[in-house]
Amino acid sequence: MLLHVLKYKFICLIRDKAIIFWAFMFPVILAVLFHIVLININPQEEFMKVEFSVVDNDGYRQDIRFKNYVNSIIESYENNSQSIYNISIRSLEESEQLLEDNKIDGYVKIEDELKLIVKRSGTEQSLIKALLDEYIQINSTMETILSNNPSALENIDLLTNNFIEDVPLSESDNTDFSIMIYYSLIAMSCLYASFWGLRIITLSQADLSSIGARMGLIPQKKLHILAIDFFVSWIIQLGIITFQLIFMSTVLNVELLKPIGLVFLTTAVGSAMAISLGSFIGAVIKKDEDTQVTIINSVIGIGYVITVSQINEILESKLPFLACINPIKLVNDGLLSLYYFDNYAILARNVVLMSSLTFFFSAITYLTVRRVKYASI
Amino acid sequence: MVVKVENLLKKYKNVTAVNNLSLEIKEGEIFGILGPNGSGKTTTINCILSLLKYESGNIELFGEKMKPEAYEIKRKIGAVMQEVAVFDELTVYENIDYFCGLYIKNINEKKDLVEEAMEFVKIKDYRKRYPKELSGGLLRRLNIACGISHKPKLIIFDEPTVGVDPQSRNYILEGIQKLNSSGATIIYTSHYMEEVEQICTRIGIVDKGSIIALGSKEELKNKLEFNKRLIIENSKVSEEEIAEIQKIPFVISAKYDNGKIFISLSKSDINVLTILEYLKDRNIEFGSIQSEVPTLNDVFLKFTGKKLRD
Repeated sequence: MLLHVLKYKFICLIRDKAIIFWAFMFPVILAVLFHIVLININPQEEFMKVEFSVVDNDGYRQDIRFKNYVNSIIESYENNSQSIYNISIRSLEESEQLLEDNKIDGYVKIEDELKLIVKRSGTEQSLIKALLDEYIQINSTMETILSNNPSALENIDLLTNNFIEDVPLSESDNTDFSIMIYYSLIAMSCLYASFWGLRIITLSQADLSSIGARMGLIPQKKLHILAIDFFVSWIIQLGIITFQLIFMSTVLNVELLKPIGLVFLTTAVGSAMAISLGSFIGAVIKKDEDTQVTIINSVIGIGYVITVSQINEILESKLPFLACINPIKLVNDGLLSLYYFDNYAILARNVVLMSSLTFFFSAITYLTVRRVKYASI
Repeated sequence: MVVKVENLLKKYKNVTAVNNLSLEIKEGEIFGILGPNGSGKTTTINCILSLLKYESGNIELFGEKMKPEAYEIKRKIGAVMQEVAVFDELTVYENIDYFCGLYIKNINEKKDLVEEAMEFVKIKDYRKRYPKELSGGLLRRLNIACGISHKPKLIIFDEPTVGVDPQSRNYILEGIQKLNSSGATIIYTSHYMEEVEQICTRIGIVDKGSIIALGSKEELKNKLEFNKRLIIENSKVSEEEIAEIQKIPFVISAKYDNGKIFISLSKSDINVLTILEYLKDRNIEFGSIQSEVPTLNDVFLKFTGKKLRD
């Protein structure tokens, strides 16, 4: 009986053109459209570089603190590709010429005081000023501390920052922000599996369809039929996601498949969660199919908006529980964490949350529909 | 006893759909449940099949209490519900094969049963068609095939001929009789009196959730006081003349309506000529004459004061 039901459930789903279009083709069409829009834009984020020089004059040579400060920044730039300040020590004439030729954003010279010479006012110039302001502030702080308690700064130079070590979040240099768009499409595609789940319940409940009434009369345990339906829907959904990932990676040339095993794990668990969510809505919301479809669309739509907008941050700080159970966010963030970070802590957390939601929705669904008699059909 | 229903009570909020209904159906019967729309026929069927909750009552099938998890009882039941219940994504053959396969495990046996079911409802020529390509009548036949392919012992037909062409209707009714002669017990619900009269061995007439009359066709008609009705065309007859006709000993009732005289005659040997001579003696003119036997509609009218199709 198992193979018999599997076979026909598979055939029914494959031949359902409406569901296949929305779950299969719609995300692909969107991905192609996004690709056309983004193709001429270099989404690879490049960190801004601020180039300026320090005039090598008497004032500079005598100001040991400033000299150490500048050297620490030069050293930081040499050791860390993401450092933005590229400082060179040059003569006044060279600095003026480089500024004139727009090869540097400004230059600094020390005479009676620290001076910044720029040609125009912009972001780079503001960053140089911010750096110098930081030096002035820290220097002033040090002066104050030294005057009150000289031993407090023993072996510590606040200006060279040698007591703080930077630990990067990731060793990778993945900075392509268009990836977010494609991963969010994959997350949306996973959530479209909710409609498979809704279909499972509609076709098993007598008060929702005539086939449901007929299925209420068969001599088979409802759990078995529901489990087979769930499994077939899940397999087909995985096939659809696989195709979409391969299509985007090969045809659209978007890096989505690394690491391939964890990407599939995330989408597999996300799809299972979505199917169980759709079943849950179908079983618990005792309204007509149009209302149930509207609810699913609302969950996907609102979940997506929250995920990609600033509301997400507000929710995480004010209502962290709600942020944790946003199905789109769980899939989306899980996939993004594979791209941007080296450790799998976020992924692991999200997989556990998705699995828990799958179990919860499935359990409630089963308890709601088993051995049921209807108030009306 | 295949079906036993005792004091079934089912309410939808403040509306009593089935009002302490009791009935028993013996093996081998074609039991008809006849009643107008909204009388509780489908609700009764759905309660018998344990699809609907009910307030009180006892329902037994094949001697055992019926409940949703009574799988052995369900194995012996087939249902052809009012709404067509087939998968649009499967062909005619695939639909019957799928539903049959939920009851029959043996593949060869299932294959034979599917072919037999298609032959039975005469849709073999359409085996590769999809439901949306079928006419209403063919769709109903497919619906029947899906419900009976596993050769159940009890088959319930809930208004299976609604919206069906006359040819398909005849196929369906003949098919039901064949199923019965093969050993199946049938419950047939309808608001079409003619169908119930044609095939049912015993009939329960239902109105407002209660059985108002129960028995075979003859037993039900015997509950009426008349066993024949004459309809005589007449252009003019007075009220006094109608009153005079009413005084004839074997005349139960007489009325004049729209150019015709309707005379109900009692259970005695009727001599139509006696009536006609009576009319001739009194110079009451008449045209064509029709004679009708009582119908279940007359039974319904007697017990409820309204017709089945009001």
